[in-house]
Amino acid sequence: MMADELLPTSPDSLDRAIDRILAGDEPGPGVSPEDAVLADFAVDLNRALAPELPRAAFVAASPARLLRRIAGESGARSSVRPSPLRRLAPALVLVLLLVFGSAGVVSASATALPGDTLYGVKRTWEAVRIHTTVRAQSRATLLVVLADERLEELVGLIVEGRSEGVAYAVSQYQAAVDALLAEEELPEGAAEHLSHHSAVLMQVQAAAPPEAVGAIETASGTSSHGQQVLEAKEQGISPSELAPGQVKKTEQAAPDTDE
Amino acid sequence: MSETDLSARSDAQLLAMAKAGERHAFGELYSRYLTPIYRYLRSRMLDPRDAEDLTETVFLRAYRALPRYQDRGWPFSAFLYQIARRLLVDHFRGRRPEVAWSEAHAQADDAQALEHGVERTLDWEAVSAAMTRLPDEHQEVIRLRVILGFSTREAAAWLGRTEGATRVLLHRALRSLRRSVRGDDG
Repeated sequence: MMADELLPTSPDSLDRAIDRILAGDEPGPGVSPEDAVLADFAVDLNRALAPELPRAAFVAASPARLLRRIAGESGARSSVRPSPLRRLAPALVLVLLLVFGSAGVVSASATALPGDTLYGVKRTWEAVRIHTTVRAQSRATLLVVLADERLEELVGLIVEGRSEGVAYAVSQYQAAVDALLAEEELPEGAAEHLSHHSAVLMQVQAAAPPEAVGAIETASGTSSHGQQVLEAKEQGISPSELAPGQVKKTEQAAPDTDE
Repeated sequence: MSETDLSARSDAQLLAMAKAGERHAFGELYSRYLTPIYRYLRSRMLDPRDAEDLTETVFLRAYRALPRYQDRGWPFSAFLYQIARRLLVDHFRGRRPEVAWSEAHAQADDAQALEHGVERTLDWEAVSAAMTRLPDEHQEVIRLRVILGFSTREAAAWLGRTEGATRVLLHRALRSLRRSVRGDDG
């Protein structure tokens, strides 16, 4: 057992151990005690929490129902022009927020997308959080979260077919990444976040309207560049050596490639 | 074209056929990914009927996006996953996210433990609470790789990460969750 205790914990061995235990085997050789415990924990989670298969009746009936819904789709989507009142809505909501200090409004705005009534509330609240976060490390962590949030908004607009807001969302995403890159201290894994952003952007770009593709490619370039800058920072290289024009474009990570 | 012919087709072929107006090709894609998408949604929703409704909506949204859809090297199911995640955000807008494993799973675990004459392995309420405190990316990798039992390759494709990055993320996520459940994450 002494030898086992010297085994380093490793994501690869944990991954293999989970597969082995799920298949009914022992964790296998080369697994540290800590990883063996984590693998057991993972398998407990799987056995207790794995959701059931869909009901047979649903599986049998729903394909025909979906095809009927598809056939019934007119395809015509009404174009919604924001009314003057709608344009004023964020300001009104902000006034109400200031008057009533409603935490509920802030909470409800958390999933708002650009163009939504509560989006201004969401961004105002974020600005407050940034300005009240004093510790450099906490601030950098918050900026990573906000860059993730800008990506989520971009994905949300694309998935919902709201291409009119995509260019704005991309500009906000770029600003969020720029703010992150300007930080002196960076949290662990920040570069990995931006690598993930590039991949998600590629996934949703697959179904983006033509008018939004250019903007998404811009965002993708921003995340790739940001990733390189952050990786360089992690390695102690000066970011100034990695100005956008000087960075070679790297290929996106394929989904089935290993690191 | 018979159902057997369709089931032998690749996703790319079915997508091309569906784009050309062959709705049954999209029906085949639906049958192919109905279960993983449903189970993903169900892992985050208490009511199975809600998960069923949202499953159909995911595919309806995907169908609407089909004319614009282009193969960019990621599986079609990863695109479905992005839609599902977005719909969940909308579904829970202004509401507390549901954790499909709180009450129902705890009861099932209790019943199973009673049946086998053993103690319940984990306090599922604590697990549920701890899970909601994890960063979203940690929750997602645990859901896909552990709860749903996807292979690392499948989970990585949905998450838009490499397999290596997915393993690292899973390792961190499980450590964080276990520490939090044990109450020593302070």
